[in-house]
Amino acid sequence: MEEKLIRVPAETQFAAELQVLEAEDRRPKPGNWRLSPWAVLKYLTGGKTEQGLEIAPKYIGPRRLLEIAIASLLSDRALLLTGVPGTAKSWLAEHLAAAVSGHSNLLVQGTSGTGEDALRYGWNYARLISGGPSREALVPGPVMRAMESGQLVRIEELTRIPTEMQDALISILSEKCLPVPELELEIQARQGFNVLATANDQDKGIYPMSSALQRRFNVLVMPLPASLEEEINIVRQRVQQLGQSLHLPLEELRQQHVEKLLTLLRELRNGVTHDGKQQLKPTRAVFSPAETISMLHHARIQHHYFSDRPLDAADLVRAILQTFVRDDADEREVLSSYAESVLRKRTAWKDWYDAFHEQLSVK
Amino acid sequence: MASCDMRLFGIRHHGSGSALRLIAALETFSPDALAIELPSDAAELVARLQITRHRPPIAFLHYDQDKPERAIYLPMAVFSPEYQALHYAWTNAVPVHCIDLPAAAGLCLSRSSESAKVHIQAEYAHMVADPIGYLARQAGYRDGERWWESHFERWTDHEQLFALVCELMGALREQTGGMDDGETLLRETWMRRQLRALLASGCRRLAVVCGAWHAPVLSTAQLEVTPESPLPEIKTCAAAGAIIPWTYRHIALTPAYTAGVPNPMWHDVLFQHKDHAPAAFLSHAAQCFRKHGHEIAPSAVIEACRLAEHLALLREFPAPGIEELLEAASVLMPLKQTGFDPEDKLLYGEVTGYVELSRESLPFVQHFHNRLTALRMNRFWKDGPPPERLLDLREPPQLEVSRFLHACVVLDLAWALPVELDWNARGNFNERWMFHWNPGLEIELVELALLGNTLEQCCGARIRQKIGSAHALPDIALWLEHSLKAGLDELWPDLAAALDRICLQDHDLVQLARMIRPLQAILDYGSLHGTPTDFAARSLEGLLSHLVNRFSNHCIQLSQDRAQAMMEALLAVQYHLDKNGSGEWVSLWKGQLRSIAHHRESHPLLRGKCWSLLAGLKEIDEREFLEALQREFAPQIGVQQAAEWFEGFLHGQSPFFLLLPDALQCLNQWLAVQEEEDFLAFLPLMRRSFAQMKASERKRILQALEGHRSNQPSDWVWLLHSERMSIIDAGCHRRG
Repeated sequence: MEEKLIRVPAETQFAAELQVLEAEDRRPKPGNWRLSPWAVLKYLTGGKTEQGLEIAPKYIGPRRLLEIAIASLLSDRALLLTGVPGTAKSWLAEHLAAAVSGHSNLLVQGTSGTGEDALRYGWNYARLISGGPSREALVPGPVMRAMESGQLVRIEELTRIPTEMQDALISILSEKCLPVPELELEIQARQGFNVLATANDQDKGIYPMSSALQRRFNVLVMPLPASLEEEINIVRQRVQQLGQSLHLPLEELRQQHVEKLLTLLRELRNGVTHDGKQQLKPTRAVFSPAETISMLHHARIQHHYFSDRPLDAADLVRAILQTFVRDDADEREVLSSYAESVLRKRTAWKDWYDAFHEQLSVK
Repeated sequence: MASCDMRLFGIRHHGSGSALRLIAALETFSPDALAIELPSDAAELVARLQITRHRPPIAFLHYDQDKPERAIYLPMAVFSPEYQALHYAWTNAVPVHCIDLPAAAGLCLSRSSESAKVHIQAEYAHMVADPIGYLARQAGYRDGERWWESHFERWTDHEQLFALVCELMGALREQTGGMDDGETLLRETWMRRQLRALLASGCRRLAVVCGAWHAPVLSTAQLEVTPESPLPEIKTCAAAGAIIPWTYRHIALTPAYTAGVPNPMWHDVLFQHKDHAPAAFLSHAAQCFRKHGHEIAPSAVIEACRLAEHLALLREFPAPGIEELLEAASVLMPLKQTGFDPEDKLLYGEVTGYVELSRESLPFVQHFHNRLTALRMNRFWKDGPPPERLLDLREPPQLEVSRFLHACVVLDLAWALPVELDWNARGNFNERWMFHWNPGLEIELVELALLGNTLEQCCGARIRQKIGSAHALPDIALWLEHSLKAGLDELWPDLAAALDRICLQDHDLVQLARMIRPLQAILDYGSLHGTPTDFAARSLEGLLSHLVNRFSNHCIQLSQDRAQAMMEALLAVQYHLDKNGSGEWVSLWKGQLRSIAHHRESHPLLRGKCWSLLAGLKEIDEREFLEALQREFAPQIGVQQAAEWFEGFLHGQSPFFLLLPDALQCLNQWLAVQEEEDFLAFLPLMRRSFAQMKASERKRILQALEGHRSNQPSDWVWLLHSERMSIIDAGCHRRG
């Protein structure tokens, strides 16, 4: 029986698309790339193939961002995606790896405990002790495997790796070779090798990159969605996908609820009402799309199990307060002043205002 | 006419591609006369430009002498084809003829052609203004130069190129069916006339350089076919011309200047470096960023070049264009947040032209000097003038002078300075001004001429520039004041909007409170001189609502310095409400005072002050006060806190409530409990507070204390003490 996985890797989920693109691709491919750069672009932005297959867009945002990402991977510089948490950095990295190298499983997860084994190589200690240093005793890390096979390696949360460990990447990126002094050999990188890193710029406890390392990366800042329509699109699509993977009969989100919710969050994020007329107090939370998606998903599940009325504004307001406000008094004040000064005047938002008023006044 | 060879060169205004091709074409053709699409009365300016030392970008300025704000600007950069044509003519001694409608007529037309514009559809208006850009957009390119480059740059045969352009434009014109802006048709009729005259004058080879849109109707064939139509009556006015320095920023494409290009700096680089333009542009970007303190390594420039080339490859262009370069620069030359817009600098540069000028030619300078003469202030505009002048604003002529001087302050002209502007005095009709003249002011006037042609225009432009970058409240208050006093009412909406915006962002109540007096003074001034000042009233209302609603929140857990500052703010609000407060504000404010007074955590200085204010306003009775006093001077309260409370309480008020017997009892008890060191520490603090009181009040306290003498153990100490006190008091009495 087929095991139901929670999350299928990109190259499996979209295997059909990748196959068709590869078959139709007649343009020159750089060494060891599975698809040509133009085909990768098509995979990411969506469109129709010659055969008529509809390619779903993977990243909804400015096209030029994707062009810069692909152009960076063509050069010998590595690519670093940064931005506020929740702007699809890891998502894009996974899909880029799947399209360029055919798989996205060469991954280093950066934590403050990441050691040299992950970035370079480790040892099979039994073999090492019994037979001394040899090629068989060497356990290559993901980066080394990527170098040897000419593939992309992903490094998530690069800035959570301690600076001393990060510097192990410097010589790999500049000389494209990994010396193994114990065996007196050097692993040279094959064409097609590159490093795709992601980093959050909002966390505490991150280790800043040394300038030598920074110099070897092309830094791309992932933006928050520019327009309301874009954001609605992103959120709806992802919430739908997440809901499907649970195989529960969750209630559909009504379009008007999603619109109002996102308008509200965007206004709070930008600090000004959507018609630009009224300024608002700034909040600390960023209300990024990823947070919104998981909040909505959670609200749907909670409503499914614990409520017998249809999903309405009160549920969404509760979800907002749980996710973003918790018990931060300043944020509560900001939200309550927003409700009083903006929502009260909007007659179409009466149920939202009531929900806020009721839930925020309970101290 | 048959013996003359006339060639048309239809160019794109400010297009570097056109300029390069034009130079090559002119060199091949070697004309003996050059006709350019410039107003006929610009001929004199062209001649002047040839002999003046200058460096582009520059502009020809034609203005109506009676109304200097009506003006026409004709900018030219080094990459403008017109400028290169002129340059060719000067180098090869070819006579230049300006064949367009004279500016004297153009100035009058620009007002009346508003009605003519409604006849053209918006799309055609774009087509007429920038036909090459229009064609580029139709082909899906964002930038006309990019389209020109990819289609025409490879062309080596110049003749064919310009012929092709002419054909393209002809096709476009057929689409509009001859329907066009009335002004354009008039200009073309005029140009045809001029060309016929030139041809009849017997030159051998005539080169005509004009906007590409006009090329089809000026060809030889057209000249032969179209009859000489009579020109309609054109109004003219007395126009004067000048050559002024210009900037790349003003050559940019804006709704106001549709013949502009969106990225002048890029055109400059294209013109100078041709094939190596991408590398040159990125080097320029690196230089620019380094000048602003960012360290950009040369490797970043190299990598940016390569990234731009890859991007161009991905987007299927033969060479990187401005978009690819800007994106590559933003990725590889990351800048920390500095509030300086890199794109702005890179696209427009900080390039200003230079022209050796004479003073008479600039309209603003003339206007300024005319005003000086009219106001009889000329004796202040030279070396060693009388240093001061007193103005009585009740006299209309002196009010005019005051307005003029305030306008100069708005312009940052460091000539006249107001002295001792007393905020406190309402209804003060006098102003004192001091003057410092130096020759550099003449140069400043010339620089200001770029902003506008009249004093009012320049003030408006300057204030708008400043508002864009202003963050500090006191600055805005200052400009509000000066622009009101200069009579520049039309600037009020912008300034008031900026004020409101900053009030919302600025949570520093101290700053906000500092604004109250200036705004109130402005309201008073306005009412005295009959100027409408409801903007100030609204801003003041807004300020008060911020302050009065939130004051108590900001009195909690303050440092010593901050408490002093908040005290200032509190006094400012109190002062204002005493004089001009309406009932609603006053009651809200009393509520605030009460909440500060009762809050445990508020700073003792402010708490003391609130108590004394409330006592003065008769909001509290004796019982309440005594309770509070007992809390304040409970035995465990420290000396520092008590001293601060006292300071606040006694600040500027008479200590009436302290004279209550129970109050003194309470204080006594508290003092008795203190340790010796604390007591000694307390003394200087107390002395400071008590020194503010009047001698008579101190005497009353002493008397009240003496009344309690029976409770004290050591009478003789008291005798000694009261003797000393009387001596000191007598001494103070003499002094104070």
